[in-house]
Amino acid sequence: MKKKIAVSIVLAILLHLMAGLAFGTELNIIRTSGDDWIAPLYDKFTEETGIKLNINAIPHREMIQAIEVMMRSGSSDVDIIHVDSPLTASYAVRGFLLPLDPYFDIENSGWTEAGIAAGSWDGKLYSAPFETSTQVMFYNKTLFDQAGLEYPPMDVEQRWTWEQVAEAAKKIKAATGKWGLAWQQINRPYQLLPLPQSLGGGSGVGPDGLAVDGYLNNEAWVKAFQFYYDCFNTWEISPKGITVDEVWDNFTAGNIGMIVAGTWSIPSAEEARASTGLDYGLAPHPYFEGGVPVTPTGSWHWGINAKSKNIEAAVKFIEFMTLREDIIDWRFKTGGQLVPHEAMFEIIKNDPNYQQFPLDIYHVAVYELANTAVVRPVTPGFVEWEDITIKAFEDIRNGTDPKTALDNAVRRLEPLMRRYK
Amino acid sequence: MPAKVLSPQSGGWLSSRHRRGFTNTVAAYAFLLPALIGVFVFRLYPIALSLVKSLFQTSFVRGTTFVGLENYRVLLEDPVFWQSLKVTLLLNLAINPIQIVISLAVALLVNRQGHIVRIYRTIIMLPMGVSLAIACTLWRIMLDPNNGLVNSILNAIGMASQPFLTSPSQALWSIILIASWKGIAYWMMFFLSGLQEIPDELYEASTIDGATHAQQIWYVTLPLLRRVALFVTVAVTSANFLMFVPMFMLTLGGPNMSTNTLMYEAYVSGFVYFDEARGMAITSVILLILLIVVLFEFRLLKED
Repeated sequence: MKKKIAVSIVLAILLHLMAGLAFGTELNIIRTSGDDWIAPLYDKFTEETGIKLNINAIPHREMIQAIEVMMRSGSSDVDIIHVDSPLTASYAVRGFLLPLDPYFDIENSGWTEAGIAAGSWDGKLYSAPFETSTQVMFYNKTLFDQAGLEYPPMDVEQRWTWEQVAEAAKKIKAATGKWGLAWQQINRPYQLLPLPQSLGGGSGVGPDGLAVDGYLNNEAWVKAFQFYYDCFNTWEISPKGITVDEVWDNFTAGNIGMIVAGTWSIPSAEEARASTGLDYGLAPHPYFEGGVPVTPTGSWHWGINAKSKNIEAAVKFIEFMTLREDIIDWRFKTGGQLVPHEAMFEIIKNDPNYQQFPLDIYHVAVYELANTAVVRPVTPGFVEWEDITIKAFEDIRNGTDPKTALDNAVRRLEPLMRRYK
Repeated sequence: MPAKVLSPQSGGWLSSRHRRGFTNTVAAYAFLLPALIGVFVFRLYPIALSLVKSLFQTSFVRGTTFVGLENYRVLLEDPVFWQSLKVTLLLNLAINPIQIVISLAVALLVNRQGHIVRIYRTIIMLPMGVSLAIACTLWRIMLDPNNGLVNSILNAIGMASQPFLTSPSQALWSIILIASWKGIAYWMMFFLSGLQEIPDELYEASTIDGATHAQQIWYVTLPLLRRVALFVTVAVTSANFLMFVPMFMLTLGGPNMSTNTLMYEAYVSGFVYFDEARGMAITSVILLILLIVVLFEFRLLKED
């Protein structure tokens, strides 16, 4: 009897192991948290392929550090990583990512040229374009009415200047006591780079991808961040103290007159309209008078760990997520995040929903992607560059003189960038 | 045979005693072994490793090379290092006395019997149950410069709103407040257990001798608390020199580097800027400073 039990236990274990061998391919994925709406896609992928996904969702900044620690330790535990597109170079230089060229027919993939460029380094594709982005200006119609202001037009040819935005913001503050203006990622370069870029100040890094002196602290940068400084400190039209995660909720709660934010926030704004009656409008991204319109872009890509032991399954996952048209359709319509693939442009052109408010703003988005979008600097030192510029922006927001803050940032960055020479 | 071994005259008895002593020593070390392994693996080995690694430098292009004390030399020329050192010393000069004095005072206050006191004691100890990360989040909401609870209270009593964590002159003090809110409850426990170990007879005797309450504290309580005070002082100092969570969660070392402690700078160097060597060099400097301070504290509070 005992023998029978022992034999059946061993058999059960063996069967279990075999089942694991036969159907048990698992992919370990690190991704940024916050877009839980995408979860049904993971289930669908597992259902179709039998490949199990272990998703590790970590908040953005912490995820970047987690990836660093894991990849530098040479770990093969992670198969797929969520790559913030400007980090592609940094990862590629250090051999973290597998070149994807042998696995994909890139020319006929349907990925946009900008997407492929953002995921490439040294002529090879290292991260597959998954999402891209642009920003527009959301405004609260109720607060505009209370301040007796006219709404900004949705027309890219008549977009407001920052000077007009600031004037309107001051009036909103005076009439309603609410904040006039905010940026969704209130201290991040992604969001704020268009300020100096609109004045011709460049991306903050020299053409060699490493120089910062004269690029992060030139005249246009100082002038642009003087405007940013004034919003928080002189005119007091923008909120100090609240974090990136809290800004948007303040807009949907009706505390902010105008916010420059991603088109991915439209579903959330629509939710607020339905639940609390938020009456909002949309307008193109502002620019400086005498400058040029510039908009932020870039977003999440997928990359494969160069040391992964599940390359075949990882490629399947990336194909499923970035190339399948039914998936792109679902993704774009559910999440609102722009997809760097031809299929999205077809939807915007032909789907009747995208011809009326609020989704008609995607025509503006398409225009921005083609005409005004500027990527963040391409540099192997992007993580350090981003961290230090965030701190400089935060200091300016809290009242430090812009020139001093930017000069300090340059002084901190120079020795760090030198290590890549 | 056993009689011979146990005979006090024979060498066998002595060797047996030795053997027993030896066995006891072995047993003692065997019991200590798990803890010693822990100390070695989690304390001594990382310290040694960081000292060694601080002597190397990594370039993404040239690889890792031995550079001797170069990382330390660079540190000494680095204004960010000096700023961080200044912040660290300032923080510790303020927070350690504050936490020790207040936790001792609170322990004295609640060191008596009665239901009400027990309720107070529980209330005072409550912050201990909140993790520092959660405490930081709660305090950030309460100290919000726009519509936080603390500013609402200030406004209600006719005072102007304060920037707290967003002001270079207030951020460090706000962190001291948050860390102490939690720390005082914890350190008070040690003082309280020390107080309860002091025999009542001593107080009775001093009462008979005509000592006032203040005199009792000065001549009876404090001298007998010396050992506990030494432990608390050393533990508070090392905890605060290594404090990291509030900077990480609330200020990121800002505004204007006003909360950029050495510990936070070491973390940023190692984990954000991939400059492991600089991070290791900074932790070695922290260790050295801490060692000097703690030795000083030992001398100051040593029992005669």
